[in-house]
Amino acid sequence: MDTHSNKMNVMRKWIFTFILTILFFGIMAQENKPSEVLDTIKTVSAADNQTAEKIYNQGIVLFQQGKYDEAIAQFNEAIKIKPNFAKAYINRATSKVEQKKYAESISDYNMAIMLEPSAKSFFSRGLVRYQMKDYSGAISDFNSCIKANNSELKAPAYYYLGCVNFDQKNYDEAIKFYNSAIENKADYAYAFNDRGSAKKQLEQYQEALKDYRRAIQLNPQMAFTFNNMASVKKKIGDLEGAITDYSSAIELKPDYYIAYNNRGSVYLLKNEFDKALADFTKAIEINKDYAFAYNNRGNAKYKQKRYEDAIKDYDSAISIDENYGFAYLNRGISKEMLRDEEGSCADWKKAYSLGIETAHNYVQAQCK
Amino acid sequence: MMIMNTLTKNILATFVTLLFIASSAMGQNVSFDKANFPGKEEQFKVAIKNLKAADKIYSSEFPDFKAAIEIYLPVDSFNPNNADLNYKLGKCYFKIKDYTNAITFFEKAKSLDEKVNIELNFYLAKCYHINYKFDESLELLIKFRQILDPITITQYEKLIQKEIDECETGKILVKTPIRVYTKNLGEAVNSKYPEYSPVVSADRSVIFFTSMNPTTTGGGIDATRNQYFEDIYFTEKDSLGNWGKVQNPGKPLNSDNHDAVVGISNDGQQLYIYKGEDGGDIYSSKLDGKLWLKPISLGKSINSIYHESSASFSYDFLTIYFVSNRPDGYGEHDIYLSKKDSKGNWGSAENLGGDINTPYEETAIFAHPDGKTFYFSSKGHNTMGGYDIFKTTYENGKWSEAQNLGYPVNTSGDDVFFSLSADGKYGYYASKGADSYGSLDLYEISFLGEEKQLVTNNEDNLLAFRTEGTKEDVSESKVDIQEVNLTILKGIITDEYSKEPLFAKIELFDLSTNQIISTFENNKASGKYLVSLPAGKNYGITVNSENCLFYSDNVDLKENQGFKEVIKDIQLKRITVGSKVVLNNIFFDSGKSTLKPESQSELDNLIKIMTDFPSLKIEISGHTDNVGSASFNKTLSESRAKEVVNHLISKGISADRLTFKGYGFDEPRATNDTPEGRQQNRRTEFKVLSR
Repeated sequence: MDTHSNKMNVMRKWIFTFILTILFFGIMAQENKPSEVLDTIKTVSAADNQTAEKIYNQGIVLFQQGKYDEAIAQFNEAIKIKPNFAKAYINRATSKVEQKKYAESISDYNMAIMLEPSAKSFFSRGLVRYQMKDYSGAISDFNSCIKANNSELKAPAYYYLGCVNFDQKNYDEAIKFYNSAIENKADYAYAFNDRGSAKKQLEQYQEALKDYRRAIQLNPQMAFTFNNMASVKKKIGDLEGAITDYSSAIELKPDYYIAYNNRGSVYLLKNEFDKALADFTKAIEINKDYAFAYNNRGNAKYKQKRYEDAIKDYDSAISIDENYGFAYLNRGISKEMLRDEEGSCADWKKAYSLGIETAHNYVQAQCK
Repeated sequence: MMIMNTLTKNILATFVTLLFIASSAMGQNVSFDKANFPGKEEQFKVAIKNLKAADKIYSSEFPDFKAAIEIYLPVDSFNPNNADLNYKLGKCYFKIKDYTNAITFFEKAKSLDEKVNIELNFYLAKCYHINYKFDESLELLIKFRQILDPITITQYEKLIQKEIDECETGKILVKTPIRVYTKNLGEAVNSKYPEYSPVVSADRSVIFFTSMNPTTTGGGIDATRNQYFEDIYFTEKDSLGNWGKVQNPGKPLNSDNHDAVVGISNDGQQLYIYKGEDGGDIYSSKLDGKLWLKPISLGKSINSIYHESSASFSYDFLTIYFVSNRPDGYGEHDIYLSKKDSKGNWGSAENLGGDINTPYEETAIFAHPDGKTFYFSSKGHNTMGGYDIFKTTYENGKWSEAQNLGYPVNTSGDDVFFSLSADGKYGYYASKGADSYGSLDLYEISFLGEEKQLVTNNEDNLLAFRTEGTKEDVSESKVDIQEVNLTILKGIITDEYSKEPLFAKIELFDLSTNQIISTFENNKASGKYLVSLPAGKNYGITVNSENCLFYSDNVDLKENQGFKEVIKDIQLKRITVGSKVVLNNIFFDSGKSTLKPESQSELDNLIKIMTDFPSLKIEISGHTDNVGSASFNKTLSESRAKEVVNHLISKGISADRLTFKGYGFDEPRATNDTPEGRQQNRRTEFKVLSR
């Protein structure tokens, strides 16, 4: 038996009981008011009752089960009992965000921030504002989050600042923020990917590839990064490399119709029309409403001189998206090969009305 | 008589066999010698007769090659292995432009005797050329050139070189075809007879053209060409937009002689025709309402004693371009122009010059209404065979280099008489294509221009969070419920007998450590007490008052039970005989009589009271619930009581003050029907026997 800790324990107990005793005697001292003793005890009990918190915790359980309406009901209750329950506001807002009710979540975040401004609450509201394209609001919130110096949220806040700038096409600014994100979190795979994309937009292709590669090193499961890498390679003419990377993306994500469509386009460039066709068909198999794949498959069939079949694919693309200008342009070109002058001119006029300039040249040169 | 021994026979046999093989591989040229056809004298006579007759036709000034073929063929059936006959048949087919058959016979002739005719390779090469077998043709041409001696070579050199040039051009043009859409004008217009030199009105509603077929005016045949006289025909577009059935406008446009279309004015009101008079002259006829007027000669500046064959007016009618083979040109037919003077007369002819005209044939001039572009046909320049159609522009006093229109507009054969519609979109010309109805046909051609670029559409997932969703958890976590894990034990302590409040000491023990936690006192006047028991311990409580039996209680708060308030009024018993106290803090191992360590404080209570009251005599009794047999419970309860007594004795309490008894379930204090009741019944008691 450890006598020292024993002694400590007893010490603690003595202090504890001393305090209790004081309380006790304090209470007892009011013997001429016996009811007070009882009352005090009752008040203590009531005050110690954490009903709101219990309901709040229950709400969290429901939230984790994906039962958002029920979770919100719990948070409503908790707030009714405790109107200053900042955490309940946050979680109610988060539940609404899960239901994509972004606008409705903002007032809750506002309340939470008013009650208890924290890195987390600023961050959350920033995300929602970003989602609602309130870029300046989002930026302000992310900056506030960074100021609040929460180590977990600093890197993500910089990251989203990067993304907001990216969306506004301020790629240089975006890169700066991604840099900060990476400074705060050296293995931030997402930040590397997005920084690569920003560099791609600035046509710094080799630099973009470097960032994409680093992203994959950190997280080899990101199919979309392989896709992005492939697209850069396609742009700089490394068609073989592009095919390899699109294939990797597909291997990681077998339903990646975007990558199938992209790989098919590379095969088109290489004049390997059968392979191109196969890829476009696969993309359509996965996503039957992917207009791009129909259009591109039409192009492959055109190259094979199967003009009627090509037109059928352009028809499909247009039926999915009636404002798909390029599909009209391409369909006009196939119709021309079938000597359907009326048809091709009608399609080119439509394409021009949808903003395709080359179509205008064709109309002027060949149509009445 | 020769006696052959076996060895000689073998040698001879081998020799003959070899000879036979050699001659079969070479093909043996069988001459028309009676000796070569033993037993076929009659057929031989017939064959020779036919051969001579056909030869006569073949060698005449204007041979009717078709007729010659008809007579040669049965001769060839009789003797298919005559190199010379094969050659002549090949040549006949060549002349009637049946190149497939020509090749067959030429190749046969070659296999029989390569040297049967000096021109064999040359004609065979031409056949290959026409069939787009350029490499084979080139091979033969080079071979042909090699076998010629230095004297003969000068005769053929130019021809061979031209042929080679055309093959090389052909290879290039076929490799890079221009994007055109060609359409045969159809059965209503084209026939197995040649149709050519189409001219189209500006609004493309009517095409005039020339043809040599049996419906010619007068129905006559030109003996020098073995073909029907040329006549002018036309076709009009019907309501469905198709070219209607061919019509012959008759006289005065047509005559019994050659009448050909050479041009049409833009407004379609004047037709320029060729008439086979005076060596060939150009006339114009005016459309008066619905009737064509008698054609009038274009005059002496243009028409000569020589052959004028094609004409086209400039857009302003002030210049006429025409074709003539008058001797002051560059060779063969050339293109000339004549300008109208202020008096309205045509000026003297001017040759267009060496940029356009070559030593070879130039013909079929067409001046486009844009005023600067011209189309013409030529066997010179870089034709890929026969006539090809060329394009040139006249700007700043200069002709641009003649540009071959390319394949498939131009072919290895004759491509002539190209005219373009005013809007520049459609051209008309004559050609013999795979879909011809026979001989030259009329085609409509549209230029598709450069390949139009298709647009492919792609997208990427540039931003990670948008692709995979936000990873950050922005929800708040659970709140620790600070459960007040506390039991408050309170009540009033009274004297059982008098019911008056008693002043008592309350001792709090931690049973697991047997340590006293603290001691409290209650309120003397009210008897009220209150003990606060935080969760986490197994408490023993002993309540002592002077002259009373102690009261003990057990509150086990090892499990969190939240907040509880327990009201327990305690009546203390005086130490009188018969008073009983339940020893709530005596614990035994289940089913046994071993005392648990937690019992220590209670045992100490007992020792204390026995010590404080030295004369006290007590009975320790054990009690059970009704689970199990009576005897079992009796035994157990007794051994438990005994155990307690033994302990007291071991602590110095004299044995004669102590008795132990086991009551089994004989004296329950609560119902045995509930677990709580049964728990209450399982107890140890002590009873005061005497003070």
